[in-house]
Amino acid sequence: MTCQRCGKRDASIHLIELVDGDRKSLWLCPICAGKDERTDGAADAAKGDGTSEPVDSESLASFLGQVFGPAEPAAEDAARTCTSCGYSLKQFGATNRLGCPRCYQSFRARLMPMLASFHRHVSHLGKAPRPDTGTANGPGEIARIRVALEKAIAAEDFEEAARLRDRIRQLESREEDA
Amino acid sequence: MNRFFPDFQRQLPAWFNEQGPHADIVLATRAELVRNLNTFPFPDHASDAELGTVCGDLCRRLSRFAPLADGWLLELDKLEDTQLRALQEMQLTGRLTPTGIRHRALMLAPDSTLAAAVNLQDHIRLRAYASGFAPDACLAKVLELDRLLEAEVEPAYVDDLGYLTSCPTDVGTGLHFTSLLHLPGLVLAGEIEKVLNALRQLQFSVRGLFGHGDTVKGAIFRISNLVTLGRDEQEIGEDFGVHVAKIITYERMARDQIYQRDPLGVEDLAERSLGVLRRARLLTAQEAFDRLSNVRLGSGLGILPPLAAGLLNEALVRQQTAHLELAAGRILSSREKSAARAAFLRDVFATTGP
Repeated sequence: MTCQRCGKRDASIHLIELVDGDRKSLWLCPICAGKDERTDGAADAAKGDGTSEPVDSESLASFLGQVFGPAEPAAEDAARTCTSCGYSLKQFGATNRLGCPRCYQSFRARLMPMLASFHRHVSHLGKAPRPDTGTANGPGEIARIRVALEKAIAAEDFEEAARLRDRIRQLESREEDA
Repeated sequence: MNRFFPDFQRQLPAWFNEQGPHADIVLATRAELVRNLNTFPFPDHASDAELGTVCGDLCRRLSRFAPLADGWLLELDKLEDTQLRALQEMQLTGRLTPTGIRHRALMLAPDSTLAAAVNLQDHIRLRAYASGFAPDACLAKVLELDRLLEAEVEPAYVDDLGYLTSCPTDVGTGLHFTSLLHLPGLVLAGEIEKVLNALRQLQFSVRGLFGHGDTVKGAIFRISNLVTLGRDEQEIGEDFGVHVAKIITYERMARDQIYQRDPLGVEDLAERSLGVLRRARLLTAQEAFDRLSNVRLGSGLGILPPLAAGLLNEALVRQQTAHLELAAGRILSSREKSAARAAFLRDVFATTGP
C-alpha cells in the first residue's frame, strides 16, 4: 500500500483515529508520519530502537494513540518520575515502555485506566511465581471469581453473576475472620 | 554451550519441518513468556553495567538448564549484521541492528525449539516453538522453562498485576502465542481483510509476515494474542486455539471454493509458479514469496504432487537475502541476489520437487 498522504512511498504506519466515535484509518509512510504530530509515538515505535520486537509495535502505537490522544500529558503529570528509577511519565509517553518494575506503582493512576482499556481486565489471573508458597483460597481465588463475574455480567447471565457475587463475599468475610 | 553461530545452512530449526498439526496451513507456533528481574531497571532504561550484570548472570544460569545446556549462546553484539538478519529471517528475533545490542543474548536449544532472549526489551523472554498448530505443547514447554527459571531468580511480580513487564501491554501472565498462517485461499477469495479485521476486534495482533497492508507477500500472516492480563495461561491458550482453529477452517473452505469455481485458473497458478521456480534465472524476493505461496497452495490442494516435508519452509527461509549472503560468504548486489535466489530455488525444485 502506498502512503495516503504523499502517494509515493510505501506506507508502513497505520494511524487509527477516533473522531466522535468514528474510527478513521490512515496508512502513512514513515516520512509523512514523522511530520504528523499525532503519530510521533507511532513513528518512533515503527522505527524501532534496534532491540524492539516488531510484533506489537504497530498495534501498540495505534492503541496508545487512542488511549492517550494527541495531547501531551499535563505539565505536572509529565514531570512526575518513578521514585525508584527516575523514569518520567513523559519518557513513557514517548517510548511506550516503563523504566523498572516499581514504575507500575509510581504511575499507577495513569496506568490502570490504560490496562483496563487494553486488556479489558485490571487484575492478574494466572500463575504466580512458586505456586507452592501461594494461598489456595487467597486473593488469587477472589480475583479469579471477579473476572468470571465480569464475564457473567457482560453475558447478562445474572443468575451466575449473583452466585459469583455471593461466593466473593463469602471468601472476603473468611479473610476478615482469619 | 556453543558460542559460535549455528550452521543453519546445514540444519534449520526443527519447527520448520512441516510435520505438526495443520502444517499445510500453519507454518509454526510459538509461546512466549515475558519475565523480568525484580531488582534491576528494564533493559531499555538500564546502564551498561546493569545490562552486563543481568546478561552475565542470566546466561550463566540459563545455560545450566538441561533443555538449553547443549545448545547455543549467541552474544548478539558479537554477530555480524548478516547473521542478525538471518536470525530475523528464521523468525528467531525481531529486527536487530548491530548498534545498541551490547549485553544482549539469544540462547537456543540444540534443535532451536526452545529459546531464551536476554535483555531484548525485557530481561528474559522464554520461548517454545513447534511445527504446525500446537499451542498447548508450546505452553507446556515454556512453562517448564519458567519453572526452572523461578527456582533460580526472583521475578518482578505483584499479586494484583502479575508479572511486570517493560511494556504494559505484556503485563499479567506475560504470555503471547504467535502462529504463522499461510492463507492464500482467503486472499484469493477476497475475504482476508474481513477475517483479519474480525481478529483485530477480538484483541489479536495480525500482520503480514513479509510486507504490510495491501502489499503482504506470500500470503503468510502472523497472528498473536494481545491480552495478557485478567486471564490465566490456559484460558489465553484456549482462546487463541479456538480463534486460530476458525481461521484454519475458513481457509480450507476458501481453498475448496476457489478451486471449485475456477479449477483451470488455480491449476495454472500453481503449475506456472512451479515452472518459474524451476526455470527462472533471476527472481526478486517479492516474486519468490508469491511463487512459493502458489506452489504451497497447489501442493495442499493436491494439484502438484506432494513435496518433501519441510522443503517449502526451507526454501522460504533460505531464499531470503541474509541467508543467500551467508551462503555466498559476502554481501550481494541487488542483481546478484536475484541470480543467487533463482539458482538456489532451481536447485531445490529441480532435484527434490515433483
